[in-house]
Amino acid sequence: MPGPSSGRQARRPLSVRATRPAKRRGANARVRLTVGRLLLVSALLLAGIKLVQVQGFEAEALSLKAEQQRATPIRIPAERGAILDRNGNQLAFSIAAKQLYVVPQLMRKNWADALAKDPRIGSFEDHAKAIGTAIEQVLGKEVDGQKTDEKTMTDKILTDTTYIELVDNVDPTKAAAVRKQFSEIGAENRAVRVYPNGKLASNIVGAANWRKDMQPAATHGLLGLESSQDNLLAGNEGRRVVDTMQGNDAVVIPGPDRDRELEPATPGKSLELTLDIDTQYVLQNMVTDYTAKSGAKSGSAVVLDSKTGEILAMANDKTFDPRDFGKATEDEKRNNAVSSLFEPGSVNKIITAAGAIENGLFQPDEVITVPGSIQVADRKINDAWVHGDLDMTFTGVFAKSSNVGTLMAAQKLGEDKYAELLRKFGLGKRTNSGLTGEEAGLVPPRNQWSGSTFGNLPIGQGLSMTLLQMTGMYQAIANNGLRIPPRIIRAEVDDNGARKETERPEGVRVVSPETAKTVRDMFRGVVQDAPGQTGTGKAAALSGYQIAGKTGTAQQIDKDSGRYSNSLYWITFAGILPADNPRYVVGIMLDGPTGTPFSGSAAPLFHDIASYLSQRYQVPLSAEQSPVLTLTP
Amino acid sequence: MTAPARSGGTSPSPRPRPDKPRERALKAVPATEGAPRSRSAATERAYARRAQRTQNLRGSASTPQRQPSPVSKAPFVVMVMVVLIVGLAAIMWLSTQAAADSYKLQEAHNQATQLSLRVEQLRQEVALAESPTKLAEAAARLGLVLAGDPAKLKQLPDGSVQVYGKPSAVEAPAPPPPASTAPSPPPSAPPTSQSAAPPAGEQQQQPPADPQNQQPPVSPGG
Repeated sequence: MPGPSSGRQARRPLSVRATRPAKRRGANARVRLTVGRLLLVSALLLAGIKLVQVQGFEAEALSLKAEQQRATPIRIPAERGAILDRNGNQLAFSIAAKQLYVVPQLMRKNWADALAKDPRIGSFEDHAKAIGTAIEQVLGKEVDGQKTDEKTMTDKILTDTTYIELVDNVDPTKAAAVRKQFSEIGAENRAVRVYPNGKLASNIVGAANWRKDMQPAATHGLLGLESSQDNLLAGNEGRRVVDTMQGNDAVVIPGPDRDRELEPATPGKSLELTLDIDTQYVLQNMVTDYTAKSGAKSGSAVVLDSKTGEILAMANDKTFDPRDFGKATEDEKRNNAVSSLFEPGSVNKIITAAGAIENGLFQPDEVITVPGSIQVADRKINDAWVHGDLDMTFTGVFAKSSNVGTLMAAQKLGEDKYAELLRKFGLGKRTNSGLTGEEAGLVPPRNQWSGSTFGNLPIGQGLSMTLLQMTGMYQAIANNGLRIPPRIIRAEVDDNGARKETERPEGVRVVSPETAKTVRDMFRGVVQDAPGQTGTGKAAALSGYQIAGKTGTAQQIDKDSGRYSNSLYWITFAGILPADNPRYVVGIMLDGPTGTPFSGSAAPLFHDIASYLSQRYQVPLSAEQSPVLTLTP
Repeated sequence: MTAPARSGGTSPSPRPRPDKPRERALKAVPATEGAPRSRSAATERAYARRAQRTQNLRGSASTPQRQPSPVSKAPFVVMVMVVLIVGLAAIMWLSTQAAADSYKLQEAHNQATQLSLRVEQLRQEVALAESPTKLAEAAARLGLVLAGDPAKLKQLPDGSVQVYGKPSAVEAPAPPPPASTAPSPPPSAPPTSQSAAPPAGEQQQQPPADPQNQQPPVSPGG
């Protein structure tokens, strides 16, 4: 700029040319700059203020709003634990399923909107029909007893309602296939409880189904262990939040921080029962057959492990199908072995035997003279067969099941000691085995005993017990006098497979080991079959094994007359296999068998059960066979 | 930006002002040499200003400190730009990758779910097939019967063997089981293979099926 004028003489003073416009421009620029600066600064300030406002004061509210717009909470269902037998076979487990539903009114409206835009898509009715056809193609005409044919489905979609269930318990892969074709079909999580063994052990395991009425909806038990152990089996539902597209919760925005698990689901624990399902199966068949054969109203049998008190099998003649328990009758749902009370009859004589031996009142081979009847208070009690004064060994008293002999021994023992033994044998008190619907039984309290009470109890009348309690008494004798309360739950298994054994119930010392052994040896006489020395339960004998047991026949109370009936009985049997080295204890009860050769005794059923158990568990043969015991010298 | 404003003389900055009297004194000597005419004070001032301008310009052009600065800035700017672009590209690539991975993850999740469903289904099938009820049915179909009450052998210390119980043949299954098994696979298979003209493959299968063929006529009769 100064270049051209250098060296030349200036025509006008530069100050005149330069200063004036410069001044004008300068003033202008200054204003512009100032205004510009002000504008910029104020804009910056405004932005800053807004920033502080948005980030500081409104941050929480805004992020909450945003969260609400995109976040969709998803429930993580907790898997229900399985129920297993002692060998890990599944008795009950859950599988995932889906329920398909539609929202017909909204569908119709959306379809009408779409139709207005593009009339070629056809009527809503055609669309519904297309969906129906697709469902039938994928699911077939029926799912789990629900009709899924094209017509039923189409009708449901065309119903004028806000929400309708199409079909329940659909295989998730099939549900996904249907939804892939028609995204407007909704799917909800379900779980189906599977009982692979069907009716087997159903009155122990119970039944569970999907409960919509529960909050949150899940599978919950209604019967049996499924119900009583529901808290353990069910687990806890978890929660997850995912970001989804606005207006469509199904479109999940992927991203590592867009999927937040708030609370993981805690799967339910599995229960390992003491049952052996194979034994249970055989026992079930035998009990059902024998109950029918004997003409009994009902029948039950229990197999206990003599050392641990674990219930290996427990069968009632009636069971129900857990998949369809709504149709089951009360009788079928009952677990008679623990919820049905009966008077045990002669099986109860073992208490007198144990008490007399424990107190040294009698020796097994001691001969006592038993009269034909005995007077107790105002009652005269006879033996089951007519006889005069009869010499019997103390063993013979029980092997022949003499009421008179038993009462003589009981009176020598005394009421107090007898009452104490009743308590130690666990009568009149629930066993707390873990089974549902368990009854305590009725034992008259000691202070309410009348004179004749002590004429009834020793022979198993005037008190009631469950089959499990009765079998438990023999378990005490089998386990050398230490009674272990029976139990059904062996362990809890969590989802990692970690197994936690349930605490073993504490044993109750009933009699000394020597007494228990003596009593077992005495009760071998019951199954003895020797000329002139035959016991009442010879049919229970199992060749190769020493068997100790006791038959029982108790009169039932006639409902019409209120007296003991002469035609209606409870037939019982309890036995120990093998008597010399006890492994298993079996208890059997038949309610009111009549009219067949099998009605009089449950001993043949015991034989069958013992024979199976010896094979199933490969019980070694007894080292020595039972010697012939003298019953009547 | 501020330099021209200052040279324009309008700048109120204090630096040029104290210089003015000195310059005027210096320039006064050569100006009088080259120009015989005496100049007015205003002209003097103008010349002085011009001199100052030229000096300013020359000085600014010839200052060794300012010369390298525009040259040395260029690589730096380029470097910053490169860093920025590379960084931006890296971020974009990484986020794309992350998104792609999360899709892959989703897919893997879906596959895992599918597989666990399949496992569940298979477990169910196994459990159903394992149940004693089903096993017993299958055994009955094969014609197996429960062993019942077997006799037992026991070896005595002297080497002899003692038999406990009476060995007896197991009773043939009662009429109902064969009746229930007969209508199932064996009878239905042979008639179809006989009535329909059997292809070569089926003809080969017939010989092993022959023993079964003899059974069906018996069971409906009996």
